[in-house]
Amino acid sequence: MEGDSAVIIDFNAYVGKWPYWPNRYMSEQGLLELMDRHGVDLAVVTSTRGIMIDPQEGNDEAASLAGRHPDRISWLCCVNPYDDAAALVEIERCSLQGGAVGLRLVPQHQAWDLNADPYVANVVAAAHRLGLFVLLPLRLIMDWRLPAIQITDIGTFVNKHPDCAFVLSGVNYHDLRLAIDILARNPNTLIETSCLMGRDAVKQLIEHVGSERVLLGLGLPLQSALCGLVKVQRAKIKEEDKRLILGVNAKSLIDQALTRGAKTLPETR
Amino acid sequence: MIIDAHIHVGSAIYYGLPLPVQDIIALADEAEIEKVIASHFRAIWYDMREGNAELARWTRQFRGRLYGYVGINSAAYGQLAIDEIDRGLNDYGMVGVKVYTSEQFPLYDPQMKEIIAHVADLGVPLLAHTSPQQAELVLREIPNVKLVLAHMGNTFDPGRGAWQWAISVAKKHANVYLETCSSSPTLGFIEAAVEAIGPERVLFGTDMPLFDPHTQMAKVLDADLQMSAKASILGGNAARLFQFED
Repeated sequence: MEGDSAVIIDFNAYVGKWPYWPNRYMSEQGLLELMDRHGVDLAVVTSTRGIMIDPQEGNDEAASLAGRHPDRISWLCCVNPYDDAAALVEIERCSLQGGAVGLRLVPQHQAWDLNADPYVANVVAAAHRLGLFVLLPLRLIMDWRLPAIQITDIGTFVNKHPDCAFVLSGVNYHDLRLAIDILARNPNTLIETSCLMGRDAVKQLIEHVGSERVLLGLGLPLQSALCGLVKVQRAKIKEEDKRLILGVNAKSLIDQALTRGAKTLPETR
Repeated sequence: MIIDAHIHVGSAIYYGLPLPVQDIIALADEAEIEKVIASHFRAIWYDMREGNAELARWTRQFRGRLYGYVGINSAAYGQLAIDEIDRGLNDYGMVGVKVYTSEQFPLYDPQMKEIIAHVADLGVPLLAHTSPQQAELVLREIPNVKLVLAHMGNTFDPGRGAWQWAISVAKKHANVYLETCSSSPTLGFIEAAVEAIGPERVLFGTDMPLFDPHTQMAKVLDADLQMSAKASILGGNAARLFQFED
């Protein structure tokens, strides 16, 4: 990556197959082609395979992609709390061996309840111990047909884990006021922009929570990169705020996760 | 020439949406949109006569920039709605009709079908916030209506967001147009529409003031299409449909 002024990071990118409709860019080369076309330096990917079918296979897929393109790809791991203790082992494997920078929880794709699951608190605690932030998506991308959870459920969950660093994802105009409320109450929580489609949404976020807690999300390769970029680049906010949102904040978060992960010893079992 | 075939003006209690009409025109200026075609929130959600009358004042104020759809707040107003359409087109100089349907107040409501048949006879475009499924049911009975599927049918269930479904309806009916604005910036949906029906029946819209015109325009500009196809979508097609051409 170039100096900080040029950094553009997509904090909500995907690798794997896309079961809902054909997408010609849903491949390693396709993702990189779109990144090059739009000047995206780094994509933080999650494997759809890990979200929808098999967390371990998906994590291997994402780690492998990041391994081939360490300067272009970072990745989030996925686990299923149904796996109980195995989920903790998997998080540790992904963080300490695979270089995952965060954990994505996707109850809407895995048939568990964010606030009622008996094991998810252990999963979050493990992520926190390993220095991983936890990304909580209302939906994967902005398509109304995809499985979604309520912003109120995410708010309840975040409030239960005040020490953990969360990233709200998949927020659109219906949810923005409540998302801002969650951010206001939880200083460790950030938000990514991939599904924010309301006019002036980015400006509203800056006004309420500051630019340091907003991360660019594009939804590559499933969503239009240009659409995601102009919502920040054309926002009526200061240039410095744009720079932070486009990549500086994300780079800092990723660097923190990698640094903390490197310092964490495996848990004695 | 860039033409936005789908905006709203007026007051509404909806996500803090409203913007003064001059601010919407300023947004259009900023995005280099030359003409915008609006319905009044009040006309489609509260009282058609109040809303359309106010919109008519604004289309006169911004002549050549702002054009109007005659809004109808409910098909249940029957003949009154038909009379309002005639007033809007003849007295106010509006260029089309806008209806806002739902699962509960569907496009295939018998009274709505009478209104649509009237619009079809008049030969003006009907911008419908409706689902592809409801559109399909109406088109079987009124195949000659120039139907613009707002949001490409991305409205309500079944199939909310199912642009593929809207495309299949447009493929079957040569007088169906697909309008592009919505919350979904899905990569490839405009290309899919053009592949199926050609670029001539795809219309650019922004849904201002709900959405930002730059993000909605970016969806078209980012599509893997020839520049000529993008130009048609951004304005050429609407110019023909609404007879803006000199």
